[in-house]
Amino acid sequence: MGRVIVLTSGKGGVGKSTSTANLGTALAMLGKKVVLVDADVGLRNLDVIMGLEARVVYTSMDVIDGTCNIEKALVRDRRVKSLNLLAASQKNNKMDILPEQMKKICKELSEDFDYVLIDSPAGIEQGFQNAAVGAEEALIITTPEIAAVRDADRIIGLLQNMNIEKMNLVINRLSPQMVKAGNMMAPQDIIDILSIDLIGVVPEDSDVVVSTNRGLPLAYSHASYAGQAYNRIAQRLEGEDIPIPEFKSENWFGQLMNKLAGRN
Amino acid sequence: MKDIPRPIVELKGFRDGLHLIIDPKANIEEIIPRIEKRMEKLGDSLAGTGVTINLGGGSMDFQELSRLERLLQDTYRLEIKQLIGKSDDIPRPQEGSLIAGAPALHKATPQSSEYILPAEEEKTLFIRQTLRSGQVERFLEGNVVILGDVNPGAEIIAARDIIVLGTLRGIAHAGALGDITSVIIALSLVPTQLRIARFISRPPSNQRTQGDKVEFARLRGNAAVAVEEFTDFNHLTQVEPRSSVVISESSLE
Repeated sequence: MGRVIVLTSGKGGVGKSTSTANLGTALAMLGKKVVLVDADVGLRNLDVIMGLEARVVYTSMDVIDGTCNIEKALVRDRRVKSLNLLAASQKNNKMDILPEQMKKICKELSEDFDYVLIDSPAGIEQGFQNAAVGAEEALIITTPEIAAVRDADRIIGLLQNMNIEKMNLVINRLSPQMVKAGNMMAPQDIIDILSIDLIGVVPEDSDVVVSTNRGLPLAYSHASYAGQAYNRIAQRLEGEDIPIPEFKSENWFGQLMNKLAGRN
Repeated sequence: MKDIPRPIVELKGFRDGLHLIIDPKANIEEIIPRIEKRMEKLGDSLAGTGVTINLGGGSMDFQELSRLERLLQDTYRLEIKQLIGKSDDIPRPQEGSLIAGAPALHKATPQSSEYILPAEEEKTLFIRQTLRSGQVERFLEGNVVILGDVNPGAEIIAARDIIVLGTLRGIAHAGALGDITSVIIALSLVPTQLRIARFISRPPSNQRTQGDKVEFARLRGNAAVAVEEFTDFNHLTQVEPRSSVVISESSLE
């Protein structure tokens, strides 16, 4: 039985799909059998980020309808053969899928794959519920912004209510320079509020935009800091003990500002 | 034009949201079935909506209010925003204006606007987890002790004292039934807002955190929520406030 992990954040635009694509790629490069499930029905884009858009024939909706079986609906990645994608239907909406149907898909996939990574839509409504219902653990994606942290906190509470106990935090788009200067929340400030384990910090990297547009995840690139951060997160998911570099403010004013930031 | 008798229960939308208007002459046994009938057609569609209970010139006792609250919150998942009713003691800006109480300003007895729980009825709720954004814990039977943090966006409401063995970053409302002697204590007090009885305060935006000191908040002079360093319970009445915080009386808002 493989691990079923939902990647979620509450807030939109913090990098859920980018993280799903890159972590999936990184895990597959470690030799794992991985399937990515796009749960953002109606607003699918994981296939675009993966560069697989043109190869999608069937979606999870077709599996639910019985149009095809699950194996047929999977799109195999061009570069890493053990990486697969189950695309979301673009013409349906989130209410067309029931939690039980999603649960069944996740269960079926977990029998054949080492990792089932579910890309959750933003929000806390049925789309999120569907994405999380079949998962046993969660990766919470946030950026060092108060609004994103607030939403992540809300999501953690909701996941706890759904009895998902194992949760790890990914801090995305951190700018080490800004943290150093005291202009950005440091990882420790975020952990203080969210009180879950940090599994990785992905630095701000302008190559991400280029890579998502090209459909070529950065995890392939040895030159990219963000890509390497995803590779390290994949290794940590695999149980390897790789220390997370510390980022903190170098002046007292910044430290104070970060403390205050936690309040509002 | 003929006078149409007013229904016992009316649900009306106003600019500030939904009002449940209840005939002040009706008793609770008539009111409850009327609400059930009214809500029947609406089903779940109002779940999560805030509602103002308007008792007109009437009032209810604590038991009646609790029944009403249970029906609205548990059965229909409405959120009670405020209660408007007759009050003899709460100063009102002008006749006929609404007494917008703090979210749970319950009018308990005709003599007083405060409902102070008798000591033998007071209970304490232990919450052994961090309250996260969007989580609201309401305990109107006594005190609340939280073994964890109260995060921004979370809310804790108690009839009496609130003790947070962690960091209070969200909203705490002590003395929610009107007990002005209630206090809020936290290992680290950096709240979004503090409420005691019907008084609401927020920290000044330039307030610095004390960080490592245990602090508590209480009403001083019955009007201002003051935050002070907590030393011991004997000192509760003696220490000087570290900072006065911006206050507003909720009934004037």
